[in-house]
Amino acid sequence: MPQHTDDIVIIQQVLRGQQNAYAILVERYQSYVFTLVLRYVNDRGLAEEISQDVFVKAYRSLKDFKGTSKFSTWLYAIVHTTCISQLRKKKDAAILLEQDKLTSVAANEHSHERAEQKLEQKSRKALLSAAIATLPEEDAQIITLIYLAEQTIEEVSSIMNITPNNVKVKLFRARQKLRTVLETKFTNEII
Amino acid sequence: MDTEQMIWEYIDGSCDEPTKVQVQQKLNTDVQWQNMYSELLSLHKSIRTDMEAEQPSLRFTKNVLEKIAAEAIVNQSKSYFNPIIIRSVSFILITSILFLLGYGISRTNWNETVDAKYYSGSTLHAFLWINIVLGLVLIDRILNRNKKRPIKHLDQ
Repeated sequence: MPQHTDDIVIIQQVLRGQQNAYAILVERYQSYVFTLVLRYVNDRGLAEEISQDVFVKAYRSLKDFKGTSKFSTWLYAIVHTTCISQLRKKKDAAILLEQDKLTSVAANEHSHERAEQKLEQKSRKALLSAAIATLPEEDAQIITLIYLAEQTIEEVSSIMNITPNNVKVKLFRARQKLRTVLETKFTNEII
Repeated sequence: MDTEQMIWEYIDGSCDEPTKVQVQQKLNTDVQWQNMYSELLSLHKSIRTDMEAEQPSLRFTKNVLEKIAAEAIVNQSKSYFNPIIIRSVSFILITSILFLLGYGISRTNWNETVDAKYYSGSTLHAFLWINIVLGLVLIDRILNRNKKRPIKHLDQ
């Protein structure tokens, strides 16, 4: 992950009017933001739209970033609030997505052999990604924040607005579920 | 706290000192703990190395910059016009109009007879109607301008 001080220097440049410097921050965090948004919406087109909104909102509120936390922590907090508000707006779409997700999990369970044949062709990374996609939304977010965005327990706590102890418990449960999914569905491929 | 949770916190380095010592002792003596530890550590490393960030489209950064470019123009034009200058110009204009109006009224001889050639009843009516129409056009423009103002939608 990028250095905290480096981000602050770029932010100061943007605030001084060097709008192009913002492109560096977008390039730096776009994949992390996009991945995290995908944990909420599970639709690439919509996720890209929301991710762009996140960066636009961050740009508008850049003056409010005091530098007391990492820029990534601040940015992921915007991801969290934006996704929640988008999902409220597009409640029907989210329900459909959830149904799709459940249908695909059910299909996996019923046609396990066929799923295994397909999954054999995928890499370990894709398998892990598929396993995370089967987790409940919140579990997938916590795992992504801790492992991909390399956020600490305290940072996740401030992003999700829950206590650090609560994060620990949720992380434990999320990893337990992931382990179960990997063991039951992808044993041969991953571990 | 169960065994698995203790080991996870040990791996994360988020447990307190007494728990850390307790886990280390168990790992040195208990085979079941050792097996679970190696299993969880393997999963931990696997997630860390195999988790991959999803990539958005190639136009992503360009799209974001295009969106914020429009915002920046609005901000710049807002800051370009200094409100103090605008208020000063308005004050000078209004004062000048009031001064000229006062001067004109004070110089008017109210007892003077009106020249019927120029100020007939129909001329005054026409002048009045032109002013009413101009007034309505002005009100319409003010109302339309208010409607076209952008709505802020930062809903954090």
